[in-house]
Amino acid sequence: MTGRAIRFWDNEAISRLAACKSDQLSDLARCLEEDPATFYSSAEFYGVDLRGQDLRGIKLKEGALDGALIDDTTIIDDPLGMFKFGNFDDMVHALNVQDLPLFGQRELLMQMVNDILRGVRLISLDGQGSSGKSLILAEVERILKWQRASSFNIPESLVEHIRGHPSIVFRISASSRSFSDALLAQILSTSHSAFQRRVLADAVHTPGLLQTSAGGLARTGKASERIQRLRRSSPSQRRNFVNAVLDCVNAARPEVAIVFMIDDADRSLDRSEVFWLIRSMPYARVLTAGRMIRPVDWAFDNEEETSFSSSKFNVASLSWTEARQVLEWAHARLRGAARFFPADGERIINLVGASPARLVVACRIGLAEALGQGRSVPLVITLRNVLDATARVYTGLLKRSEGSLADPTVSELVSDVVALEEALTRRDGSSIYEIPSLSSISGNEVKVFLDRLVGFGSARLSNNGRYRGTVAGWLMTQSES
Amino acid sequence: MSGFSQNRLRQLQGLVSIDAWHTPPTSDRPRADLHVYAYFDEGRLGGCTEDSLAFNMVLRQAELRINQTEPRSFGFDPAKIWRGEIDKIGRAKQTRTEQQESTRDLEAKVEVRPTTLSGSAGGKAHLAQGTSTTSQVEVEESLKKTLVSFSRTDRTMPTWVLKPGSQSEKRDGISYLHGSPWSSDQQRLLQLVRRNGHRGDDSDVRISLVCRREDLYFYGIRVRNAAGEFEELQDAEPRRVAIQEYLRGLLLREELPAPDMNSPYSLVTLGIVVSEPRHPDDW
Repeated sequence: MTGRAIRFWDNEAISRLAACKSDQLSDLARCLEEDPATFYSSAEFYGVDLRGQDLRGIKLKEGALDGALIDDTTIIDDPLGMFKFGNFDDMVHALNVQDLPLFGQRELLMQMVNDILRGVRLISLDGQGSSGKSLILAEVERILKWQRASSFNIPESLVEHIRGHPSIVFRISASSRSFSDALLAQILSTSHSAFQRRVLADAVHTPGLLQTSAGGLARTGKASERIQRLRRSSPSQRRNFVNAVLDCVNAARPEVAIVFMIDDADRSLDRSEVFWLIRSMPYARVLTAGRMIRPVDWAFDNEEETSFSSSKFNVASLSWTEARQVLEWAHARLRGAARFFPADGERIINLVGASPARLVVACRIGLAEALGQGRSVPLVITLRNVLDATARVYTGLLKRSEGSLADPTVSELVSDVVALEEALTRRDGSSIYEIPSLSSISGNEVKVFLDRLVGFGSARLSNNGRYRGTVAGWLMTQSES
Repeated sequence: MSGFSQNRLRQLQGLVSIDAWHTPPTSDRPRADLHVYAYFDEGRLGGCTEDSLAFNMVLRQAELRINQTEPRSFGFDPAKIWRGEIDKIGRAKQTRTEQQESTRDLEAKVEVRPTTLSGSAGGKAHLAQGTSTTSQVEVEESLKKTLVSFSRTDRTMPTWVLKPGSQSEKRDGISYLHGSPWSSDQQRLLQLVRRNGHRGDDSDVRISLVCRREDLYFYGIRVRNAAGEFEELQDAEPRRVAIQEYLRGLLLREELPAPDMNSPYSLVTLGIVVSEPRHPDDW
């Protein structure tokens, strides 16, 4: 080194910083005459004590908070906005978690969010939580290498739930419609080979697609033409369009789950079209009103007689056979892309706020699945979690209504659930993963549980299926008798 | 040697030193060997009487680039570019042990009759083999403080990327550049080839050392307190992060017309030197 050192920093600024009374990062930036919003955009906070810091409005890079000391006093841009999205909102409302003494509010929500994101891979951004929306969009932008990718910060605790999911679905409110349009445009314009490796978001916002997406799709040429034409289209023409999208998607690969978003407000699609959409897409999930529906769930929402293609059935009296058929159909449809009941966070959603009749049907389907696939370990877990979810929901319903845990009916119900679960677990002596066969479960054990369910509400089991030589068959007979 | 933009190097007080020279091309031999000396150390900055700040800094990574003013006097012979050394040599070693047991039971029965020939044969073979194989992969890793790799993405700017090697210095768990990545006398980085028609200035080959914003690592940050004494900021203090970002930002802003202040990959020019012609005898 030669010569006298040249200082490149301003000693006065440093002195101001040293004298700054506040430890808030935003105040420190201002002492240095910097803009707090962008000053820390490249900073890493590993090992830094951020307790008591208000980080709202401070842009941070992805992973910036890794290893930082954070607790409840650290205010980050509304991470709980995650909980306010569409169906989460419904769930929270239905559970009224404030009244749930069994679970801490945050823990319960986090658990559910975990379950939901792990299994459902669905994030509904409709109308709620603008900051949370930004978080999700940012992650998508990052993965898709969107230009605005650096615009948002995502707390690591949330990112881990989202990252790596093969499908993330967006329901985006009008203000963000252009984004969903752009996303769709990318889907339509991306070559299959490139698309194949990592498709993360397939959002076909059906009404928006048909009504307001022309601008967003203009970049895609052919797609734009299709849209323009379809804006004044008939249902059959719309199907053609959807087929065109499907051609693109189906040519990609099985691991991509495409999700069609169908806005309830859009009445242009009748139910038969909805069902047609379901049946048309090998890897489809269909959403309505922010809630994921599958054939069964959709029927849950429409408990009156509903026409599914040529077959007719009333879900409230769905038979074991019918349930089995639906399940098998769904398994076949969702080959490898996702299991029909990928995780039970999804089940929890569907059960929350449900009528007892729905609960019963849900349990029946859960049992049917488990019994029909008795040696399938994941399905055993499904069964277990269905029971668990049911117990939770009942507890929630109880707390919201006139009932109480002291109510003998409810307490018995819960204890029966627990007992059955324990019985399932005990079979192998150590772990539920090693249950040799569900058929070894005592029919009585299942029956007691179902009886309690039936007794709890006004629902009735009416089984029309024909199971022979299995616990399910035995159960069906017992229930009907 | 004549310096160019050495202010930055002086600013960084020992963080990095660079020199460059080449053999002067002649009409008989239009080629010139380019040598560059680079040395990395811990920079110790501030701390003077009038300073309110003292800190140390190191580099996590850096790039050495060669560029020329237009019109360029030299081209590069791609066959004469040093592209670093392969730093790992793997050797697979396989140990195979076999346990083999075999039992063979064969039964054969042949009946021969005077008039007809009929045969029946029964066989039973049992072969049991137990084989266990153990594979070991031995990797010979050259013990280097600095790993050098070469890239030339746009064909105009040869670039050597310098990263800490397995034997590099570490601080706070972070490896940083220290020492010389090569022997400047013995290691020719590349051979310059004088372009036809250019007989002018040989001093238009510039060597710049750059790093990314995120490669600047500061530690031991001390701020003068009210009593006039330097007080080191603890790692957990948010104030430390503020100062680090402040220093990074300053280095990024200086001499750059429109730096992308938000990108961790924004380039910071640490120093530029001009290669000078030198005869080997002068070395």
